[in-house]
Amino acid sequence: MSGTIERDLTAWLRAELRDPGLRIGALRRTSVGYSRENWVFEATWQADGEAQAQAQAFIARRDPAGSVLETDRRLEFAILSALAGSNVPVPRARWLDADGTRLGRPSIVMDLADGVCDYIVLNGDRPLDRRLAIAQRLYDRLADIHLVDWRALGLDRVLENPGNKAALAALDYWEAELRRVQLEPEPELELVIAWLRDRAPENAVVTLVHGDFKPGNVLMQGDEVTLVLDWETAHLGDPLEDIGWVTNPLRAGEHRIPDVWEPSDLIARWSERTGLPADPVAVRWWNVLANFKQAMTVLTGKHAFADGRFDRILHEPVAIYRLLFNLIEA
Amino acid sequence: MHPTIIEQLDGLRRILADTVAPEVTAPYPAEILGGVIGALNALQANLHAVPDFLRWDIETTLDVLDTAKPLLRAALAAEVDRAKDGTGLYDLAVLEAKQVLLRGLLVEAMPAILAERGAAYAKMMALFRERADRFPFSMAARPPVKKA
Repeated sequence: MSGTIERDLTAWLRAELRDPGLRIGALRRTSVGYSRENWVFEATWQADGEAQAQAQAFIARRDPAGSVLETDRRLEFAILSALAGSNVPVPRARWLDADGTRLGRPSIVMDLADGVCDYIVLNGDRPLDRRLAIAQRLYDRLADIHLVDWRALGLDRVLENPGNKAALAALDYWEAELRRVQLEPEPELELVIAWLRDRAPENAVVTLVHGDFKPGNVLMQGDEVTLVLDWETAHLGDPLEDIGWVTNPLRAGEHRIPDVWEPSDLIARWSERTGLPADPVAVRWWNVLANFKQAMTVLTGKHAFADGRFDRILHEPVAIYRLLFNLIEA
Repeated sequence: MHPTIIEQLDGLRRILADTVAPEVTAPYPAEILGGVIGALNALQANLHAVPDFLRWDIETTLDVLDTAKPLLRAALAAEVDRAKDGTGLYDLAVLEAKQVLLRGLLVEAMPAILAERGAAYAKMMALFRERADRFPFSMAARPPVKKA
């Protein structure tokens, strides 16, 4: 498979960089990423009028045959391109193959940046004071996302604005995903849908929402957060969707430092930085939706595995169901 | 009948782990192979529990539906009665089909159960919680540390 990718990537980059002698090397598919194929490689080419060859590392993100999430590379590319003009640090998106003409399936090529993704950085080996400082910087980045002037960046031309019905729009989207991928009746999720529909809050503001903000989706150099990655689920909506995601008890091991950086600390700092309130009832609603989304990624993966399009076996997300019952019966 | 299903699963896992895995060095295939070996382990360890789990799920879901029957429209209540036929519940394929049928009936009955919030609701929530505890397979692996 890597032979075909190497040939197709070479042809694509030769066209984009206008050098028929461009070569790529060190191509490998990383094991990271359940939703997209990530291919890292180095390209060497000679730019027009330049005497010396250039070499640079890139990453190609290609839609897999099947995955835990189905998203649109066109939107991801548009968001990355728009945010290049903001104070939110994002990878430099170079080229888009929206319809799969170049690599067989929709893909994006981005600059490969230095740094490390570490999903347990907040509970890793660093001393507590450094971990707390990282947590503060990390969730300040989330606040910065919510402070982005998305109209000025033109994002309202590519993303749908749900108005004050962001919760219902999100629920409609994920319920439609359930109908699309479910292999069998899922009464537990029907119960959750009924609970969510009865209590959907209205949002006070519309902001850019990352959709999967977590330590594992940022790039770090030392203790600094240098890039925010994985924008494939970003959309316009209620910023409390991201707050519900990062305070989800299921992912506490990634987002929380026990007794030092609790959800209440995160929310207080976020509110101070954004000037936005975080109604606890609404945050709980988004916690429930966060787990519904988590369950949906598992069901999407189950569906893709059953179709022969996904290489991992996933089973019914009963641990997530258990947490959902606790949340809705609290 | 040797090799039994369990013996075959164990043998396949051993071949992959001892003979194939040491030769697989590329990161993605190595990770996927690790997942396959883990899945074979889980299947071998839990296969025997599947029929009992399905029988328990069927019986308990039927009990919820039976409790909810007075709340249901006549046609749905009649479907619940028809589902009580216990023929063939030693056959795995029959058990799997019956479980899907009953969970589908529970979805249909849910609006009435939620509207009443009575005994059927309490039994349904107890079913859901115990079912989560009894489910014979775990969901997924932990996410890996990644470098970009």
